[in-house]
Amino acid sequence: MTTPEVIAPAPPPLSAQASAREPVVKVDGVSRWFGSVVSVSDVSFEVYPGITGLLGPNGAGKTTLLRMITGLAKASEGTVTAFGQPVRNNPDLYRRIGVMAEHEAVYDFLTGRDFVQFAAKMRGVTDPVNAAARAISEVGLEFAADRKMGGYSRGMKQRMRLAATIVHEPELLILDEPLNGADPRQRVHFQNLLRELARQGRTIVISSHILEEVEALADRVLLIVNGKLAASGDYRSIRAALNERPYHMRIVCSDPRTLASDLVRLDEVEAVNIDPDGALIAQSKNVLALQMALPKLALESNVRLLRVEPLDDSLESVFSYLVGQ
Amino acid sequence: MSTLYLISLRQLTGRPRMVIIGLISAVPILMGLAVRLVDDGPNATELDNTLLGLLFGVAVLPIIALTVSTAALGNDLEDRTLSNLTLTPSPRWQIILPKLAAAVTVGAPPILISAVAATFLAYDGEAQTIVAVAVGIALALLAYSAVFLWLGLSTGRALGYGLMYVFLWEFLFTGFVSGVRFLSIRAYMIGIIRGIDDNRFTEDANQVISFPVSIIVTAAVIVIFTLLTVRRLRTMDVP
Repeated sequence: MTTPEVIAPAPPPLSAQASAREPVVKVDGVSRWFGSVVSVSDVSFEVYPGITGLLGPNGAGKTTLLRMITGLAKASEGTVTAFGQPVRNNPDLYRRIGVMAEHEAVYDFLTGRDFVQFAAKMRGVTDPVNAAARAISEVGLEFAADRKMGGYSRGMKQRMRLAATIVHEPELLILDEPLNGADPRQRVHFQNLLRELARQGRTIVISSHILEEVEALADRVLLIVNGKLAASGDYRSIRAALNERPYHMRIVCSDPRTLASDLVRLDEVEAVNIDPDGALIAQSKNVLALQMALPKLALESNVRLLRVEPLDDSLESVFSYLVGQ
Repeated sequence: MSTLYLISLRQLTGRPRMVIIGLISAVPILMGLAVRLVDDGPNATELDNTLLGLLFGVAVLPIIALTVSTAALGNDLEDRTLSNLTLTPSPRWQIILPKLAAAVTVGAPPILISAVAATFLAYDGEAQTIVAVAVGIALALLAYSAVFLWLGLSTGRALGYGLMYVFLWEFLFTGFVSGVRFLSIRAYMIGIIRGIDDNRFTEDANQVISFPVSIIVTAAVIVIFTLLTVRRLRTMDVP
């Protein structure tokens, strides 16, 4: 397997002030393999205050990488430091780090309040009762705080877990797929909370397999594909690279040949193929313009459109494109 | 540590586990009752070997310790709540000790009630024997709990391996091969019981491990396996 090119080199930290600082997290040549299977391969990057999105398709190695960053798993090769200290076998560091793992690991027999207070006590918070009340208030779950967590919805469990993660006011937050199970309203609340925490100067690493989720939150993105760092840097530069890629659109219509001959005349269209099943595959770098022009063209050509669908909106196809660059 | 201890107690006292433990604990009491009621019952040596050496030594005691102690950390591994404990600044021994204490707290009452009641019934209420059995079983429970706590953190098949260990090692090998007797928690338990009440295990007295050695080695097992569990928690990948 060839090493993917980093299409957008890591930008300087978020501000000139930050650039003078040491990175909060430094991942240096980290690999992890299980037997002959390589899960993470020679990944290096640095994380500075603000929100950094760790993006990649399911199975890309994000969780393994995050587990190494949090010290839960040992790197087969390379080093991970946070605040200049090794994260592995360094429990004292967890006074400054809050980690929310991907799975819903809660004690169903505890109330939400007990769970957050337990987390506070385990982290040596001096006033766990008030700290838990504040954290629960921040995630907006006061109304359910005294109910047992076994009866919570998935989204509520996630929010209460976030409260337990921030109860000791950590400087570094590492969140693995935190929005799983959250409804749209909860997502907005969650995103606002994370932005506020970042505004306070905290460093947040958030992993997701949903492009839009990271786009809405992260100042900086790390793209992980097949266990390697495919791209890293400012989200806009990666998005710009994505916009240059050709999109494919599948069009099922009443007269494919007529529509194909008309489509190739459009500036937005680079190529048109006809599938064996009669569907048109139009390739364009300006898919929005094509979407606007298509109904008008069909009307003029007296062709009835039966189905129009994008073929490569999945994250995997985006990554494939980036890795192929 | 007390918070984790209390949480662990709640984790370990689920109804199905407590029902199983209750049923297992009732068996020696029924046996003691039978001995009391039957006119032509076993003699003292037979009682020592069957009730104390076998029923408690390789059945009731290790199985209850296995059921509770493998779950003390095994449950956290299985439901992935272990990271709630390890992603904290607590030194690892402050996670292991409350877990061990909780396992012993849950296992000790049913075993000790069963041991005291069965001994009272079978040995006609001899106070010295009751004390000897209670102390021997309590210390052996600590040792078994330390071993099985480590096992629960080391493998997802702790119950299976634990049962194999109890049957193959504690019952078969150390029960019938005298050369490895020194490597058996059951033998230490017998040594402690005989050390406190020298009327017990009189027939094979020359094969019983001495009281001081039994105490020292039992303590060593508890310390060594607790340290191994702490080390395991430090070095393992936490799911």
